Amino acid sequence: MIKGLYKELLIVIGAFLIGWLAFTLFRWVPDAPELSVSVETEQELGDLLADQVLREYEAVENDTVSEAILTIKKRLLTAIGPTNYDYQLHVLNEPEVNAFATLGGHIFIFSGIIRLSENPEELAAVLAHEMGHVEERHVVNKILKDLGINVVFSILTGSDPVLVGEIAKATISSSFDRTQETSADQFALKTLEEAAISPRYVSTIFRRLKEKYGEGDDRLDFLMSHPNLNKRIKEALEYPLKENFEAEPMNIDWELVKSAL
Amino acid sequence: MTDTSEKYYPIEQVEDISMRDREDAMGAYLMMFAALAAGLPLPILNLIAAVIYYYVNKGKSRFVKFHALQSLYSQIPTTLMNAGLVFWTFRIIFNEGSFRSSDVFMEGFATVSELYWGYLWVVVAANLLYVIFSLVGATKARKGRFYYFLFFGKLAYHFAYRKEESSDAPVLNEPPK
Repeated sequence: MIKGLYKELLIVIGAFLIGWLAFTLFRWVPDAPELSVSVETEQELGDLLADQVLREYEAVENDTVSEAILTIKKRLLTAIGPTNYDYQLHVLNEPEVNAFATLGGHIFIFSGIIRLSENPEELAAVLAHEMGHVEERHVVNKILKDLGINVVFSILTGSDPVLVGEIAKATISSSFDRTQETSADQFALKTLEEAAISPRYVSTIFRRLKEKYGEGDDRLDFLMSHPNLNKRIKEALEYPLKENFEAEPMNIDWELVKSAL
Repeated sequence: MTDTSEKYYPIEQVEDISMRDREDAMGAYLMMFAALAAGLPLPILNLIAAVIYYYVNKGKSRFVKFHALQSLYSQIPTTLMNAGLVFWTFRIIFNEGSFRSSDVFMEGFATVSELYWGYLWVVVAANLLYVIFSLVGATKARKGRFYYFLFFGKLAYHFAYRKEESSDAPVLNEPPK
């Protein structure tokens, strides 16, 4: 064969592989431009949507449950520090395993996920994840991207109940992309650590969800829009804790809370 | 370069190459574009076209054979990469969970691995390079010139200009002394 033939073959193959690697690491995916809505407007929209959701679902009004949720919320909020959002956690009487954040810091917890969690720390892990979506404005960006800014603002001006209902449904069923899920996970791990709750609970609740539904189940969309669950469980387990980290137990009788549902 | 002259036929110069040959050689590159467009959804047509073109034209002259081979060889990896991309994309679209309702087309892709996007762009880049080099190749061929692609040029030269094995046999018959 001719001199240098194999060298050139290596160059061609190498260029292909290096190109692939380079494009993978420095990828360019067209992103929709960030739409911006002030936190105040978001809060206003969120209140309207929350009213709508509460009209459609039955809220759990029970002091034991409310107190437990409030305790978890306070714990997490101390860890998050100053925030623009006025978080409101609502428990809905639904057997489905679900929890979702809508606009303006309203987070809805289905009773199904409280039943599934074995201790308050696991529920705190889910809530910290949802709060991550709120704090990083994933929810509002997602809604604006899906529905368009005009539709979203129209609910502020007119009170079209059908439209508000549709938007509320869109909020519930919205799922986030991989990077958003990852950053919400990171947010949750950090927040839990700050709140003296072991970040390992992120992995225990994920594992329980996985055992219950297996990967790739649509019902798990609220926590994971893509089925890379094992990696996320691993990340929670590998999260480096501060040296002086000491978990502080939640002072909640979880079995009592569950029986009160 | 004695080695080369023993194993390979000499290269023709511009004035040795007929207009007909130049045009056939140019065609080897240009016909790819038509075939490429026709075969886009399943990029295999162009490869078949390249093979046919090669077999039809390889007897014409070594110059034509060289260009047809170079076009064919460079076509092979491009086709395989494109086919891979089409296959991968279809898998994403029809895989469960990626192709759901209405606007989910993009959403499905939002959850696709970075490896896919990397591959997509490298394939785009490879096709661009392929088109550019083919155009240069076609222009050069039209002028009766050689143009060697990286690797594929050498490979095509080797197979177009290599002397047959039999010519290495001991020389028994010689002109009168």
